[in-house]
Amino acid sequence: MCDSSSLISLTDSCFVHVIYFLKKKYSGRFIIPPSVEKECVEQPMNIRSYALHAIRLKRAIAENMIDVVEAKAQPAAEEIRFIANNIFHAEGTPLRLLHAGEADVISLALELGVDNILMDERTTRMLVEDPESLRQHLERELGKQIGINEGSLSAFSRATKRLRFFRSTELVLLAYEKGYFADYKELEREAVEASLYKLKYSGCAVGFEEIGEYSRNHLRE
Amino acid sequence: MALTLAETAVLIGSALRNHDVRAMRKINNRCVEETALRFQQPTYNYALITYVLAKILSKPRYFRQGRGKELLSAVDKLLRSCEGLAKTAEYGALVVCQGKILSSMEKLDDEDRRFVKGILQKAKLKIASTLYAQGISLGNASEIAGTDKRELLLYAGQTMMFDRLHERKGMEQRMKELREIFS
Repeated sequence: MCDSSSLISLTDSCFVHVIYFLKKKYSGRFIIPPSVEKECVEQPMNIRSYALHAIRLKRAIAENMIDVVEAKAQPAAEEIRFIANNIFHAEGTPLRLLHAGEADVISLALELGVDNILMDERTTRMLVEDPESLRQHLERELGKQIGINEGSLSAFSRATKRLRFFRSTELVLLAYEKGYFADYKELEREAVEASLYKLKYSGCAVGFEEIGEYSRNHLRE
Repeated sequence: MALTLAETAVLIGSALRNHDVRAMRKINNRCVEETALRFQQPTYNYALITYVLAKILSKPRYFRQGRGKELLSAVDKLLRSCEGLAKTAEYGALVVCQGKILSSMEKLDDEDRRFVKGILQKAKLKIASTLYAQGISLGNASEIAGTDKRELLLYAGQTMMFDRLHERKGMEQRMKELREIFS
């Protein structure tokens, strides 16, 4: 399952062909809900600076590299969003964190029994993986005490516990391990490291330290 | 404590008359924080207004040929109207009045356009990026600010926001899991 954030980072970094590459090697599918198609293809098609990104994805969809799958139960996305947006509160007001698009991705994954989500967006991922760190972050950033509605948090965690998140950086690293960068020959590792930074600059939520550590451990001699 | 909409208009007016860029930025921070906590269109509009005013006050080019001075006096008048409308709780009219302020500032920028992105678009993007950095999701931040999600993501990538919050699960762990899936 792919969120629009990862598709944006991948298209901006000219890595859409990583999807083609992995799709040829494995039998899995890359799935998106219609809302992601709208965000990544229909809307940017009319924006001059992003139309090329949209065309790249439109072609990937037309060539069945990415499948658009509609959810059967729309209320499920609304329910997920409602629960997520009632987990944290400040001064008695629930914090509206999640958007309909992000809730769509999660609920479609749950509906289809898909465990793996490609998502570069940070907040949704942290809400699922590490809500306490997100709460502390909100507290620091907003300078307010942030409370937790335990009922909403446990309902959300129960619903999303089997989900695993990956970012475009990991997808590109996987492609590298399978030979995607082999053409670069002696420059291969440098190209991979540069690609990780390019994805970061294209909006993938990954820290410099994380890339540096990975590069030191795996890409540099 | 959060400022009322009327108090905010008074503070903005005062910072404007004193050409106090720092004070304007401070009000902007408060408005953005308030928007993150509980979104209200008038508060968000004040965040936009203060961002743009801080930019205008800090750039001499807007004041050539007296255009900036004329604008600031018109904005000052409109801010007084905003204050009155907020006091009488006429929120619809308040948003319209704020819209007039934003349009007049956008017009000033358009007359001497230097960048592809106008000053108002830049303000929306900056505020959306702050909201995302604070912990509001990408989609919500772009919807609140009325900016394109793609543009926001690319802008966020140029900031240090992902280095200010370390995720528990790092690249190594995610790669381990991904290899299992694709093995």
